[in-house]
Formats: sequence, structure tokens, C-alpha cells
Amino acid sequence: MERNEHIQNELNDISTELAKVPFVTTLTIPQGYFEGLENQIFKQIHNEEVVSNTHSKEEIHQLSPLLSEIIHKNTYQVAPDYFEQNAKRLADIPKQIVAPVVQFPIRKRIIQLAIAASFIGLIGFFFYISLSQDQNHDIVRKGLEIQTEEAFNRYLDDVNEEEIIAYLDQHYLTTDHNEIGGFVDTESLPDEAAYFEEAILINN
Amino acid sequence: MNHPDDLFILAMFRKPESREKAFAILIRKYQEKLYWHIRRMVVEHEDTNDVLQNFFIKVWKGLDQFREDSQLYTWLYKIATNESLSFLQQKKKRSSVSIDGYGYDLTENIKADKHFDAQKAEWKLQLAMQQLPEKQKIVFSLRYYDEMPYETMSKVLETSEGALKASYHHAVKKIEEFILNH
Repeated sequence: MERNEHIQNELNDISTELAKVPFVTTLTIPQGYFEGLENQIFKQIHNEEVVSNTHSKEEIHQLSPLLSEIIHKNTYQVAPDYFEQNAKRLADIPKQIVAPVVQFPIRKRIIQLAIAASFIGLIGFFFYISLSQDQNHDIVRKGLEIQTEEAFNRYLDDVNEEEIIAYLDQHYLTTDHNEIGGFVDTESLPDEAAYFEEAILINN
Repeated sequence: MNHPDDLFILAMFRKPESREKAFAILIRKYQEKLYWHIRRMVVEHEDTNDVLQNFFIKVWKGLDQFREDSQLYTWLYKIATNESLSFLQQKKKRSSVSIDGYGYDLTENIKADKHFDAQKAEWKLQLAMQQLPEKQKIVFSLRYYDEMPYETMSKVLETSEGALKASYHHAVKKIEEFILNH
């Protein structure tokens, strides 16, 4: 058997020992095998095609003559008037209303919510910016910091007397006299005329 | 690019009136090459016959879908290789031994041949081949016996040419070692 020169050279480069081994077929095959192979293959192809195209009765006969001989008898039983009753029962069932298919526009909804959330976020952001720039807001913030009476007194100590007087002068007219009057016990106080006759300390 | 003979076979096969004739030509053209390729993997003639027939049935059913972006020859070798490997896997499962264990059984089948001669190098080569891992055995068989170019082998086995060259090199070295030691 002639060898491809290139392949033989390659083999010789890798292994001179193996390159010396005679290139012969050691395994044997039956005489005439290849002559008959073509017919064997076509026979098998035709068998497969016949089985797939054949009527079920012929198919079962080909696959198993024994099974094909068994009488096709129904072994299960049913009530005598079952099928008549069943037909009547089915006719009485009102036709089902086919519910219209409503597409749930999930994508559209998500976009709408996203836009709404963006607007709210923007409004909140601008509101926050405007509040943080408002100077009066500082007073409010300070007011929030005073949580206890002690803190309030400390803060009050820092307030200038002139500021207090100025405030009172500005807001005198808006002062709620009734509210202030509520802080004073009128029963213990002398009447108006007595104020000018006796020196009585209010704090008593 | 397909060989003109193969293109002719394919064209004939696609016509219903000449389908069987085309397939007969294909069988006659490739039966021996593919038989020996399968035989070197499964060793036994009867097993080879089974695998080969299943192979041709698959080709008959699949040839209509064959895309001519590869050679028919490559496609046929690919199917034959896969059929052989599937057969060996099934045998392995049935015999519940490792693939190396099954290699031992194949060695026994070689030794059982009436013409077997343990002194002859060509028989030692057959025994040595069965010691190789499956893929390496295929690479060696395709290169040594079928003289398949690495480029074609790469398409058959879907492995790079470099890996195939390395695999062949290792296979040759292992076989050489086996022949020298036995």
C-alpha cells in the first residue's frame, strides 16, 4: 500500500520505529461483505419507510402477528344511556362568554409612573433648595433645635434685651390680650382702683 | 468546495427519481473507507456492520438537509465518528466498566483474531491503539490510516489544527513506547 510521502516523513520525524512498521491491514472481513452491503442498507431503508407509511392494522401485523390476532374488543363498560344524557347535558350548558382580551399596558404604565415620580422629585428638589436659601428658615431651624426647657433658657440668655423690647414694640398691637390675661389669676389680683392706693406686689 | 463527484451525487439525490441511484453511488464510494474508520474504533466486524448500517440510514435521512458549506466527505466522517463513539458509550454502560476497561476488552477481541501474531509489529500497533484515549485514537487513525489533512480533521473533530498535531504526536510516541516494550 503506497503512503503519502508527506505523512510518512512526518511519522519518521516523530518516531522512526513506528515509521518502520509495515503499513498493512491486520483485521479481516468476511468475503464479499462490501458487495452485499448496499442491498442490506436499502432493505433497511425500505423497511423503515414501509413501517412509517403502513396502515395501523398492517403495521401491527408486521410488528407482531400475535397481537394482530387478538380481537379488538372493548373491555370497559359504560351506563346504557350515558351518551344520550351527556349530549343533553352539554346542550344545556350556556355558551361561555369569551372574555375580551385586554392588553395590560405594563410598559406604558411604568413610563407614566416614572414621569410622575420625576416631576415630584423635581418639585421636591426645588422646594428644598428654596427653603434652604430662605433666611427666616434659619430661625425656624433654630426653633426646632430647642427641644428642652434647659435649651430654651440657654438660648434666651443669648438674646439681647434690646431685641426683646424692639420685638414687643413691633408686635404690641398683635398681642393677644386675652391669651396673656389667661396667664394671670384675676381672683387674687386687687381691683383697678386699689392699684393706685396700695403698693401690692403681683408676684405675691 | 465539494468534489465534482460529490456535487453530482447531491444533485441526483435531491431528485426523487434518481435518489436511490445517487445513494447507491455514495455507498459504493465511501463504504470501505468508513467501514475501516469505524472498525479501528470498535474492532469487531459485527459491531462495525451495525454501526455502519445505522450510519448510512442516518445519512439517507439527513442528506437532504446537508448544507454544502463543508465537504460531503467531512460530513460523513463526522457522523461515522459520532456513531462509533455513541456505540462505544452504550457498550460501556451495558458492560458497566470504565472506558479504559472496555479498551481492555477490545484488546482481547484483537488477540482473539485467528490471524493474530503478537510478534508482529503491525499487530502490536493494533493493541497499542486500544490503549489510547478515544479521541487520540481517532486522531491517530485518521492521520495514520486515512492520511487525512489536519485542516479536514479539524472540521471533522471540531478541534484546532494545533491541538490535533499535538495529539497525533503524543499518540505516535505512546504507540512507539508500547511496541518497544512488548
